[in-house]
Amino acid sequence: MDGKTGVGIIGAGRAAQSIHLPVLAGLCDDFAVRSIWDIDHALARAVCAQTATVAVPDIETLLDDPFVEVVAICSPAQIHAEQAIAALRAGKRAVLIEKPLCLSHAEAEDIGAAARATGAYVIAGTMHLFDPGWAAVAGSIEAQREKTSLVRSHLALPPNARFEAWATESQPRAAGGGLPQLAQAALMKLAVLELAIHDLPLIRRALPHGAIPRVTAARIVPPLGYALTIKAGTAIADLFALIYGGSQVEWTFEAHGDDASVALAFTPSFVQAGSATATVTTAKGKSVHGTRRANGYHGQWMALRRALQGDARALPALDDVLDDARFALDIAEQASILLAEGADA
Amino acid sequence: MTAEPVYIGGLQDPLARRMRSVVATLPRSFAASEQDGSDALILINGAKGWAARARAAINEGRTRLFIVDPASDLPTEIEELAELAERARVLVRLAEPYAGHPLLRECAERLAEHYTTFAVNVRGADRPPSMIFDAFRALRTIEFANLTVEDIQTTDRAALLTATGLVRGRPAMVRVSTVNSTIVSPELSLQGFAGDGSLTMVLPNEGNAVPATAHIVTPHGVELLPAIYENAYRCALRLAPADPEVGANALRDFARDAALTAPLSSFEYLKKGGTYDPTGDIA
Repeated sequence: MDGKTGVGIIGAGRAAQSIHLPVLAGLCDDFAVRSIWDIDHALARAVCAQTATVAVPDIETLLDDPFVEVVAICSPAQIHAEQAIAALRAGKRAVLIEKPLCLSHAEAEDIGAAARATGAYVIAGTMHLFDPGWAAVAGSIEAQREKTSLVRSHLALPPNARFEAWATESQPRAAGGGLPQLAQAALMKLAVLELAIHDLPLIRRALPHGAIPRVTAARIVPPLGYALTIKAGTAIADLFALIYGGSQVEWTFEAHGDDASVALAFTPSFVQAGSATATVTTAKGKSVHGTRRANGYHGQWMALRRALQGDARALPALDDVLDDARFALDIAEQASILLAEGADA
Repeated sequence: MTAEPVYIGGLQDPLARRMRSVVATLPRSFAASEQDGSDALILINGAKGWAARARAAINEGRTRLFIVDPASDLPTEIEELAELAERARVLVRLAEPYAGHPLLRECAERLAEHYTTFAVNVRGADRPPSMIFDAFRALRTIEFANLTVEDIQTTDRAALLTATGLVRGRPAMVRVSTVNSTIVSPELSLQGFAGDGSLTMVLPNEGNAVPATAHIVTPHGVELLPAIYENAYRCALRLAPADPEVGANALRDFARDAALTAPLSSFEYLKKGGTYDPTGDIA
């Protein structure tokens, strides 16, 4: 493998095509994609044909390859845990699981147990956590965490398909895609675990230590979005998202404390448009970080590379990864219950 | 043209300094005066109790009053002020930092006509109840009515409110967040969203000639409105009607909003079911 780390990718959909394959192509001195598996073998073959990679007929073949040291799981969330645990038990050094990490607390525990048993790294693909903009201000946020009064995560975006198309020439989608018709409560859960999930790890890190988050308001915002209020100790979090027909791209994160206010402006998902711009405002003035060329997608693979080279601190600790997953699951559950209660009232 | 004398001596710093500076930018129309004579425009601090202070000034013979940053005050006091001002033919001008901003006035029609989802954020050194009131006054400008509060969360330094209502008869939703901070610049941002576009405006609340901005996004692109280098104080000084009756009616509007939002801004009215109805009472 010429010193390169072999990567196997499970799931050949948009995340693999638009995110991981282009990023790994740019990191070809460090990583080599060995094989791709997808339940739609024709899709896997088509993607592999474009990338000179091998489409394997089953997951076992991918996991049995001793040169595959890292597995990227880009499949539907319902099977993340099962596939991640299989990869960990196969002795892989690291598993990168696209967001959400899993869909239940039990799955989170199982992933954690499997990772502890082998000492392998587990990463959730919450790319904002690896964005250089976030890295530039994470220390400021941690330092004022106990004094945070308001956290805001606001996004207004055109539909993802637009950015996917701009990002990569992807293989056509299978028919029948799109959002299923869901009850409001189920839609909210999906919105939290598929959309809010991007910023939930940041929000958790901005709220006071040990404060138990309580969702006090949850609304679906048409045409597709949410408004959520989270109270955690002395802090309030304002989560607002709207996917709509406009052309505005807004993805901001703010944390306001007694001594500093931190603001980040992220680029939309999929596109390789550089890092977030981060601004820290204190009584002394403003400091602005970024934009940098690399974004969070790049950052997560770079962090993984450093970890595999021996710098374990480059990645969030396993407990942090699992706490992020639990936090997201709690928020999703509380929000959907609130909506269900509202529907019943 | 004779410059109108303005008596600022009743204000304390830093408000006094700010208003001296504002008045100095309008030297052809106004001149700071050390005398609080009956011919002077008397500036009154809008902190709680302003309506009583204004009534006292009228009773002392003052004929023109300018209320700087009026806070939500006792509605009955404001009503009484309106009655007294109208009866005595005294002009009372309100200088609200956001609701009186010319850019909001300029965009109000478009906001009311096209958008149904709103996000308002107010930041500054004021306490959360005061900033919530500022947000409500701004929402009134865009005809947001029949407000039903679904949830309000507050701390000493922040507040977040979720509410529904009607804008010109169409169902609408609003999120109002406030943060008390001396670090960030005081401002109100207001976003309106529709299915195919948005309008975002930022109204600063500080010294003179700070630009307010608004941009409108449609499927076809972005329209950036000309930045207005103006603030609500200058606007109120220059554009307020000279007719005492109009001033009294503005006071009555303000009193009505103070009455309807008093429970909200005092944080005692927190849970579902409360209705903000500009034509009636809170349910």
